[in-house]
Amino acid sequence: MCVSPVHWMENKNIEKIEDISTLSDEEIVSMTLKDENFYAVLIERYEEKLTRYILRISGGSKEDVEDTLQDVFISAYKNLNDFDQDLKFSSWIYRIAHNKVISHFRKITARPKTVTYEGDGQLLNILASSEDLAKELERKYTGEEVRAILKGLDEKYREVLVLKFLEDKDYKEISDILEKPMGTVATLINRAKKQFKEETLKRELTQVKLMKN
Amino acid sequence: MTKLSEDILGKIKHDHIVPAARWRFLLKSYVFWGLLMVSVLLGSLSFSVIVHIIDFRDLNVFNQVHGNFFTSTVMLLPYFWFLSVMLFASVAYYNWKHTRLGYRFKRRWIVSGSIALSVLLGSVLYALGMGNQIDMLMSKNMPFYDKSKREARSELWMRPDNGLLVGKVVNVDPADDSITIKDETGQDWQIDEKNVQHEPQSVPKKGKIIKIVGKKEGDHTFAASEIRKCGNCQSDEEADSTDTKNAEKNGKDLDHDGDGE
Repeated sequence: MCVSPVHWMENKNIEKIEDISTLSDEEIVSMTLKDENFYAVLIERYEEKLTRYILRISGGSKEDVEDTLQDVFISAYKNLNDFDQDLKFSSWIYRIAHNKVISHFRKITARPKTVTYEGDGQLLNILASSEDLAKELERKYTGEEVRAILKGLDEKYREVLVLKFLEDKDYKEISDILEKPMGTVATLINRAKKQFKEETLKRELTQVKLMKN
Repeated sequence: MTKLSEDILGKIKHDHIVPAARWRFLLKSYVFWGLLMVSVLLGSLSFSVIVHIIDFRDLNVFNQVHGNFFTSTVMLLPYFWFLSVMLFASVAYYNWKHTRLGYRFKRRWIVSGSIALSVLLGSVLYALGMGNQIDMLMSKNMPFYDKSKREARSELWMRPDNGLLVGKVVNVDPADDSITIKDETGQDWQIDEKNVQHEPQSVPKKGKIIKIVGKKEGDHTFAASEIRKCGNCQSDEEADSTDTKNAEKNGKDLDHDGDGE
């Protein structure tokens, strides 16, 4: 018999709560299709991750992000029967978030965009993961400056960098989220790094000019 | 429970939101797969018509009249079918992209895969005679198509001064090694075929349309050095055959071509 997580919590049945925490997302999807209360488990697993992700790629206000997030979860619930078991649930829900961000935030064209990267520690992962270029940048730039550089990148490049280095997704997952071939994802990441490097060079040149003056 | 999960579950319950039925997603998926297959099939049929209507032996005739085969109106219909193949390849691409795994392949692979499949399947369909069937169907039902076909044929082959002639056989005289043809303008030509080595399949028969390479000898006489069958003229030949049958049915005099039979 299925017992909803709400009832478990109400009954303080710790053992069963622990049981549910060991279940995979895909198993909880199947359970949610039988009992909607299990959906709370998925929401709780992804609430924080998706909030950060939406914030990073959209640069929207807190309210915008909350609205989008709610929309993502409702939309995912409506389409739960369309979830492809060949994918990871995380890729599927990130894809929905990506699409919602595009449809929500492209409408708000007049609003100035401020891309936020919360947590400098995670931001530095970019530097740590991007090998020589990153190490060089780490020596020369502060987290604040790297944030400014990322803000200046094209949206498509910023998003792959966020997924690769901040969300720690592999190529396959990024391919499933953005619905692009893996080869294209690799190309986008390389171009994003290149654009990132060009931006840093521009900054260096500006600094040199300022010093001469 | 977090506030968000409470809010969302509350909304789901309050608004009676339920996951959409699985069959709806399956149906959508099947529709795209079905349209994908239809577009590949239509692309294949288009390719089979291309193979049917392009007669590459006409290339050497173009050299003879100093023309450019690929920019002539002779290629108008093949280009029409090429466009058709490209159109269906694009439709196939669109449908493929909407399948679950569509995004995993690059556009160039999907489009070239679809074209390759059309070429392969189209060749099979051509071998089964589908190219001919569709060409005839189009000729019968689309006047502009039929007109283009005739114009292309006339442009290349109605050049008696250049040694090229096309027309329908109205009389065959084996004793005299000569045949009579009627060209597109209704003009009769007496063809001397003494010097012709016929391909087995192109021995002139009454009602068939033939292409002749040779030399104009008089206003209505022509000495043939080569006679070719017309690969995509069946619609005209059939039209004639149908007319003849109808005429026979009505008991009319069939000898309307003035060949003295």
